[in-house]
Amino acid sequence: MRTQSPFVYGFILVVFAVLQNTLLTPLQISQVRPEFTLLLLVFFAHQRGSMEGMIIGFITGIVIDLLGIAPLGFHSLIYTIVGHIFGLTRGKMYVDAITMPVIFAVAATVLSILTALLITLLFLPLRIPSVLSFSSLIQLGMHALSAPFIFGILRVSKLCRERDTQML
Amino acid sequence: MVLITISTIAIGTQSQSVSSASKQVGYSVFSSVQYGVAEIGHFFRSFFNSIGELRRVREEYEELQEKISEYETIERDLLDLKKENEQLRGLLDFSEKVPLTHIAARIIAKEPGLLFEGFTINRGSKAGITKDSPVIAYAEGFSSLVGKVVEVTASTAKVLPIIDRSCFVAAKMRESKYEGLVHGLGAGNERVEMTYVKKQAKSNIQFGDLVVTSGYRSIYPEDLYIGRVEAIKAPEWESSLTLQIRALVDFTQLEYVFVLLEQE
Repeated sequence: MRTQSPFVYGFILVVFAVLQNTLLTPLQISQVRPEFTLLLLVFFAHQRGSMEGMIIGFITGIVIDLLGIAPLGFHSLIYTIVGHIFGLTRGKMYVDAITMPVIFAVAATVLSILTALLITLLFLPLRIPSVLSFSSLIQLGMHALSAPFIFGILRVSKLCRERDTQML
Repeated sequence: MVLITISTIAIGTQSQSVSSASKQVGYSVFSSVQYGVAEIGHFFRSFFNSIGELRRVREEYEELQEKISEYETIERDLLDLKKENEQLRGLLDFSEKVPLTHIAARIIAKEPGLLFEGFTINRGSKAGITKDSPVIAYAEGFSSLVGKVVEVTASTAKVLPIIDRSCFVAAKMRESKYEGLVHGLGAGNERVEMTYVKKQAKSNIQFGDLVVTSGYRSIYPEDLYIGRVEAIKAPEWESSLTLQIRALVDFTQLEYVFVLLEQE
């Protein structure tokens, strides 16, 4: 099976990050916009493993930092950690159509919120209330609801295939 | 042939009543058959005609449905165009009324997630925008403050809106002139907060009062509208009031903004 470089998946996620910031901005509830890139990262990391998950997460996070007003490194750190953690699940968990995507989405959102909380505690104390707000729950719900669709589309599109065992 | 001719003549010459009676019987029988056949024929003709008719009706119906959906699309487009036209007319009127040098810009990107509220506009340093340029919008008939430019490239600029937690604006009550500091409350919140307002101002502040920029030691010009007072908090242990303010600008619907340029 042909194996793509993690940079290719990083590039795909970067393209999606740009789409998310521009064309997908109307998708919001109570001013809370979902981070679909996080879900894509979870899927890619689960398929490709820990190291590639970290690389993909780092690339995506840096670009999100550059596109927005977040300090450089904020999203890249969160996405690198998420990429690493979900890369560890490769080959250990079977992802079905609905349950596992929802669990992955909830776990990834909670992990990103906790990492964001740690960063804000250390460097951006003004933003702590935003992390611990009701909006986090709204985002969690949005991610949980959209995860089965996103995972389904990614699986059908065969955009990312599980890495060969020879490559391990 | 001869026999047939003879028999025909014989029948013709027989009595009128017998002839008419037999003819009547024959006619009755055959006319019934004829009627039946005609009716059946008519039935089948009608049936097949009806099928054809139904097919035509269905085709016409489908054509009409398509036309209706086309007209509905046209109507929707027309309504969208009307709305956009009204919006742009409003912006044009507003643009003519703003006394400061400004440039119109469209929001092209918004930040996802919870922590940061920034957005990107389609004008940059080429259009004369510099860092810290104030950004305003037309809301409820007022020139309302949106935020400030925090980063500029040649063709785009990042804007920090007043609803972001790291945005602080020197403000005052338009009527009573009491001053304070306005800052955002972050994602999912359409309100901003005005802090450090003197406690003695409590009796002079009404719900719905307008809050404007004070212009003192600030990058924002004086008298740009921020919002209306929605709640007043006066905890005993604090030496100042905190006002909850609903921003005049609806940040969820915001599409166009004006960036105030430095006066030459």
